[in-house]
Amino acid sequence: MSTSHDDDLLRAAFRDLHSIRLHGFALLVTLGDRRAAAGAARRALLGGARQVHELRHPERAAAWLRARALHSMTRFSLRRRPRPTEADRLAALRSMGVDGALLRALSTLSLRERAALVASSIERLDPADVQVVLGAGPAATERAMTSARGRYLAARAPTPSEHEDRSGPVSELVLRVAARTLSPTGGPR
Amino acid sequence: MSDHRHFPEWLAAGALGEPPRDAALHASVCAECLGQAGALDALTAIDLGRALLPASWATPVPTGRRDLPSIARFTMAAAGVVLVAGMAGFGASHLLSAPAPARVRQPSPTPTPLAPAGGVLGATGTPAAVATPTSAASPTAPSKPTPPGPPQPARTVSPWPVAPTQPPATARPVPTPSARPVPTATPAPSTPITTPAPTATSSPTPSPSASPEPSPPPLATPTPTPTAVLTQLAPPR
Repeated sequence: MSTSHDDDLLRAAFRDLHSIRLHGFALLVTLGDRRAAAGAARRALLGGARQVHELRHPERAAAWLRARALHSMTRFSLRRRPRPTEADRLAALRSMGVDGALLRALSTLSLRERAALVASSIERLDPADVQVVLGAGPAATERAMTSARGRYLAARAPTPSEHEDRSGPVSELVLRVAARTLSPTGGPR
Repeated sequence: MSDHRHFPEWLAAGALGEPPRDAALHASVCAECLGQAGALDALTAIDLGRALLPASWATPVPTGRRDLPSIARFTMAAAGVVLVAGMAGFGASHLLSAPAPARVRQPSPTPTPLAPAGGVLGATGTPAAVATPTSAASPTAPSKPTPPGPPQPARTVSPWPVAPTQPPATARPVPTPSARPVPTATPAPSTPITTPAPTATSSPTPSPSASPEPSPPPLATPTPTPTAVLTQLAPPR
């Protein structure tokens, strides 16, 4: 009785820990397709909760769940079904901070490339975790991530007004390095 | 020009560490390169933790039969037991009491005229004796006279001797016959009880037929009256 109760608690904790971010990952990879994202995340969570005792590396559970969700999304994307409109997609993604330009740039990538980009550049997962998500070796994973970022950066054509207002860690780092290079003393390290 | 190519390569590699100085110098004055750096920053601004869960996920996700509530399982088991018990009782009741009602209620082809024949099986000699139990049993007999037709045929045909005596009285009239037997008994028994009156008329032979009907005619003997009238009408000689 207590064992069953503990199992239920463990499964509930597993779902609570992973459900929101896993669903966000699925929403981004499916470009805001609520139905596809909910189905994929739900199936992945069901499988993970059922096999929670069999995880040999619990620290890889997030990557394992995303791999299952990606596999489910690949199968679901092959079905013929009505696709959501861009407004519906934006409505589903807006709570996470996704705008129209970002959505259009992501839509130029394939499903696998989007998964690589989200896992590496948005979730900042460890390269070993990205390998688990993609189900590929280190070299193939590295190539997939580089290709995904390159295509995304090429597709994302910001207007001058956008990048003037943009201030993020990468932009600030670039400007800081340039300022230090231009200073006669080399600037503060 | 090579710096314009190196900076995107550094971005595509994940922007790990610091960029090369010449690439950073170029990017700081290149709108396109700064735009790409801003595009990568846009990715870091996305927060997956703010994703909205579907409404259907509000309830816990079932993982199989082990998550079925024990109350539901107990209810299903109890319903099954009750169903089996009900079916067993229904079958047993049909097996035990199957043919009896069919034999009792057989209709007779001759309803009314042969009604006295039931009295023969009921061991009551005369039709009058048949009528008295109904009048004594039901106080509402005057409002609804004893129907001679329908109840009697059941007596004539039924092969059981016990059944004909009681059931017709309880089945048809008002079911409270024994509630007030006293008020109806006062007028009716007066005549049978006074049957000693015929004995008072000094009929010495103990006739076996103690029927109450012969006694009133002797009591109402009008024989003296004609003689008295004649004597009164007769002219005096």
